[in-house]
Amino acid sequence: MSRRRRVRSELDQTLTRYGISPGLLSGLSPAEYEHFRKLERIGTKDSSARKKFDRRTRREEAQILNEHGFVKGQRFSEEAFYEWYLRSPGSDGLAQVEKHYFKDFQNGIPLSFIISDLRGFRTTDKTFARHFSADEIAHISRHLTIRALRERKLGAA
Amino acid sequence: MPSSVETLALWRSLVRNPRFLIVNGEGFPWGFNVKGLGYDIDVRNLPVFTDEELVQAVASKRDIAIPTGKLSDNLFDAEFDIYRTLGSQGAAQKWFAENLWRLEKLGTVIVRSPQYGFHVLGFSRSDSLDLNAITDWLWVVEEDNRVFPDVIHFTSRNRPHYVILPNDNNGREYLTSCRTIRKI
Repeated sequence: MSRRRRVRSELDQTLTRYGISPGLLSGLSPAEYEHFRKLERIGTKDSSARKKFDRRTRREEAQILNEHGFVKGQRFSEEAFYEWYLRSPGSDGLAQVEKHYFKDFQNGIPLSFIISDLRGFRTTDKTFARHFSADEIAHISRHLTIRALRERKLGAA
Repeated sequence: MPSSVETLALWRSLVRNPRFLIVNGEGFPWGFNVKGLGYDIDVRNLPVFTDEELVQAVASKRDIAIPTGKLSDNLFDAEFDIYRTLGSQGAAQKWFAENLWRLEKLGTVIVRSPQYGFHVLGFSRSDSLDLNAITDWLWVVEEDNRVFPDVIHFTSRNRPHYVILPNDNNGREYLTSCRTIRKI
């Protein structure tokens, strides 16, 4: 995937200007923020809390992976995707985007910037918008968030 | 390995009005795919095959399949390509040997593919999937974070998704002893 110019949201830019680094969850919708905040609030100082956080976030990631499989299954009904997949089995656009952008997070770019970039591409790049629906971007954002949350609180896997 | 007659009988006991499809294989510009049907179908106008034609198809080394979704009482198929996520078919075989008990705990029909992936079959209670309930159900296998579904096949507006059924000569088999399909 070609790299595109990053477009930071106005809010993120303002926060950065005032020296406030955006939180891990600040790029999410209010409903998603509430959902992930519950997971983020689980402490990881003692081993039982750590286990609880590990178990709940792994279960959350399993649900996102099931959703991924289902989203991908629906994309099989699109002629272009089906034909492309037959040529390149084992790969799908969603996984590739997730992999690509998670590397950006690991290289220190705040997750909210990455998520606002992804949303922004849908309005600035017609090809990207044709391949990824708003629901699919929301799915990618949730998956990046749970992986980032686990990495931040438990360390890299 | 089940015979084609046994497979047809089993699926008639599982699905009220099964619409079997013959899988002929299909040539694409980039090569031949044995899993392609080889003819055009539309969910509103499915072909009807007689038992004789279905048995004959298997005898001539073709496969028979059943569509997922509304056409088969809301059947869904969670496809796990563990030979890919674990790195090799050998690693997948080892995983099966060590984790068959996990698959048995799902209490449903599970089909192993020739490449050593597996398909967990379930019926959805409605024409949409409850992914929360499905995650709770599949947790016994997905607890191992290397094991997750590649694709969940369910409904499709135009091109139906389908499950290729095991027979004597297609390298597929029923993995567990269970012969009923769990409703989720």
